[in-house]
Amino acid sequence: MALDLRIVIGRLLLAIGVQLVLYGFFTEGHGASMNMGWGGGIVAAGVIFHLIAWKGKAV
Amino acid sequence: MDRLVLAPIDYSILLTYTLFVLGIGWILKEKTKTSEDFFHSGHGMPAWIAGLAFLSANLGAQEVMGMAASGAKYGLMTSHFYWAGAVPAMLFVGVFMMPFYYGSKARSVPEYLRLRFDEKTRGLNAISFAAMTVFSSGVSLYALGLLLSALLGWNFDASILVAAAIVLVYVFFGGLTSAIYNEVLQFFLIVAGFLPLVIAGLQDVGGWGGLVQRLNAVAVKQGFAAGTYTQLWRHTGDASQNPMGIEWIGLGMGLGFVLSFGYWCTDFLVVQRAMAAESMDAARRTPLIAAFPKMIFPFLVIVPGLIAIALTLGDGGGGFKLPAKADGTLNYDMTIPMMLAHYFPPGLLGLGLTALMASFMSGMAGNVTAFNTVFTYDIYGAYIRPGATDEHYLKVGRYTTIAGIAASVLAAYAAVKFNNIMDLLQLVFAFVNAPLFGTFLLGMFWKRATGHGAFWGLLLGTVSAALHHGLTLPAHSVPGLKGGWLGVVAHYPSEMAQNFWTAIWAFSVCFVATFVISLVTAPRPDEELRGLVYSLTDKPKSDGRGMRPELVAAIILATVGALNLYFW
Repeated sequence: MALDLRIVIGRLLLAIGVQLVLYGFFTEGHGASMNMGWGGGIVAAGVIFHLIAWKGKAV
Repeated sequence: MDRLVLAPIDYSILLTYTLFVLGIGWILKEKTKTSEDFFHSGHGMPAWIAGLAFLSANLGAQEVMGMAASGAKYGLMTSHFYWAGAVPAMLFVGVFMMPFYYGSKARSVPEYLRLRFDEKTRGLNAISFAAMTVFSSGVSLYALGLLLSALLGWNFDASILVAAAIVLVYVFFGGLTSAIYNEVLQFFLIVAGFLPLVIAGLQDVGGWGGLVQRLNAVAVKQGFAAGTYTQLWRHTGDASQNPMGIEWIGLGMGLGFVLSFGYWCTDFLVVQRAMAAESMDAARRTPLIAAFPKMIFPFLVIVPGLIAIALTLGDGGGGFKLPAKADGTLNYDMTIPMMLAHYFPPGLLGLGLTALMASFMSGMAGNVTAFNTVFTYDIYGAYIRPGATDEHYLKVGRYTTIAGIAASVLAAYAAVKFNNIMDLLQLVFAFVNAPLFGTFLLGMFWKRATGHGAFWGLLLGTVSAALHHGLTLPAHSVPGLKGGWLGVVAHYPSEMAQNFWTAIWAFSVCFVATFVISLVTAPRPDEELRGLVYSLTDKPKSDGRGMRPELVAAIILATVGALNLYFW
């Protein structure tokens, strides 16, 4: 394909997840832990997409 | 209703998504060189991408917000749209119909109708479909502008023009591939944005058990039996026993069969995604792959509605209340935005709103890509300038994208002038899609069906839908757009019941008329129908990769059957 969509999804999730984690890190309260928790999960999902693209065949 | 104030982090997440969307269009510009690339993604989509796009093309924000609203209004019975309607229809199109769409080499659904029947049937379908997509895209844009101005205080004009411009850029440059890629991104954004909402809401009501307990109390308060809001079929023996106002036969036949099969099996908006797949096997697997997440989606989009109504009307509090409209009734349409505002802190709120805006834009892009393909091939290429070069059709496709988006913006402004345009849109779907399924069913599985039968069957089916609508009226409505404009001969307990029975009438009349007229008109010779009709087409052979589509379909069907039984 013209563009590996797995990489694109991975990058978008990383970009959003990292922002949430950082924002949660520099704020306080329940909202901060929610942002860090879900942001961390989204970062992990982004990493998984990169690993799948790296290990799998090109699409 | 209080307006939301977004934090810089929310804008940053929204901007990140926008940059990705525009970047995809820009990168794909270099790879989109032929009309085949622009309209069909070069027939190179892997099944998993086509499958997620097949699902997401239908996941416009109206669908997402509408399902949550229906969840709040009708309870878990809203899942019938998925577990009795969409999933079985997706399995049917994957196993039985895709071999004809993909194998016939038709470039669009109207073109299949030309190959199978004749030019006039194609023309009728192409014109009605093109008008429907522009209308639908415009209503999507209008809803986006309305939401952003009501919720965030953004300027209505600026909201719709900026959203239209973003969609224009990525579809103009990248065509269908760009639209499909963005639909897949939207799918992941919806999961990432809505899953925490469901979890936070469930924690608030005391888990699933607590939710059921609160909803039982709500049902009793509303005059229904406990369990009405959390059970699927048990209270459908009589229309008065459930808030949807529908009995099991109308539900099974109207929604489960006619409307769902009519949409998922014949609407080019979704079928186009499967037709872009890289092989026949991938095309057949596309709807099956989509069916898996579709089964799970009620937990993501309907459960928030259940939580909202349990907190608003149930006992035990929780601090969340659905807003009321000017007439005092609950504003169910605001379920998702209000829950995002209630449960999400800055950051996650930006993610939730980005998921909603992605849905609006993807919904619009899906309509625009289907419109530019049908207009270019089935109207321009068939009646205005047949036999032109590929380069010419690519240019026309790009200009049609601009025209389609401009028409959508106009339709959005037209929607401002009419209060009930969304109801009208639903009605148009019932008028167009329901009879079309009758045409396809006979066309694909009965070789004796003729072009005259198909054309007149479609027309009569649509006319009968209009007559049924004009002679019936839902409870608590006045004659007009809701029905009864020819005189009221029957009442339905709800608009949904009226819609389902309108669809049943349209389908039945189309089916019978096509059958009868076909019997008295000359059929086409068998050799002209090979690859277009079930009995004259070799059964597709699997490429041996993974499970056979039939086996996958059987597993999904068993799972969806189990879900129906569990929540019976």
